[in-house]
Amino acid sequence: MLLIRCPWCGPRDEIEFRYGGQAHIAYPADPDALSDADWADFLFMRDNPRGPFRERWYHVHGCRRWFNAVRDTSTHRFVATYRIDEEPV
Amino acid sequence: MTAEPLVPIDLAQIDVRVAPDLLPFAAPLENGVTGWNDRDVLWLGPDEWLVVSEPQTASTVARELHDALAGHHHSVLDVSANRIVFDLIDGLEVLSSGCGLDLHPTRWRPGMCAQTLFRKAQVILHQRDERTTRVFVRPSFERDVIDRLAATRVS
Ligand SMILES: [Zn+2]
Repeated sequence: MLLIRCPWCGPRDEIEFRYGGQAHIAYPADPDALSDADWADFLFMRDNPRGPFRERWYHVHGCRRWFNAVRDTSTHRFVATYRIDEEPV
Repeated sequence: MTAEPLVPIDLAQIDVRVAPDLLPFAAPLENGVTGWNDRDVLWLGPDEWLVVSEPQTASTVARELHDALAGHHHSVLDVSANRIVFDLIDGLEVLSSGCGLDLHPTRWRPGMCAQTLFRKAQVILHQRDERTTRVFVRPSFERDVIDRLAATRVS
């Protein structure tokens, strides 16, 4: 069993969570100004690193809040979790 | 866990969402429960609480909250029909059979609450005293949860 630390609720079983993809992708300031290729890049293209990766997670069966995590994609180890308005430690 | 059948308790449940400093009572800490007059206030999230009070008082509680929060961005909802409530006596070991939460008495103490899973069912647990765990469960999962608790108890 993998324990994930919700920044609000504390450590919880991984089945309480849902994955939300790469974190810190800002919505374009002026979407109309984007080319189709840039828009597609914003919508669909995500980093896929081996190692630490900043991700969004959702505590769907707990406090139902989104938060961010740094997870090592090669080991599944959660390096850190942090609130939406926080910087990773 | 005692062998009495689990009987649903009729209670009013009001969900309130607002910035914590605007609440007309002291907000409970994370995973905690505080009192507001004779009501329980359960922490559900950083801006969300569940007020649990005597049956038939939902509209009174809701009006009090609306009045206290008037002029501020907030939400107050009567969710009394949203969850069935029953009290488990000495049930932590049985609950642990289907719940990933650390329910050992050194970590899980009276005055705490949590939204979590019992097997596949979303539940809210509220530890009322050393022996009593109040369980809130969605009506469509009530039978399943009660059957699972009973099955674990006898085996
Ligand atoms: Zn949480």
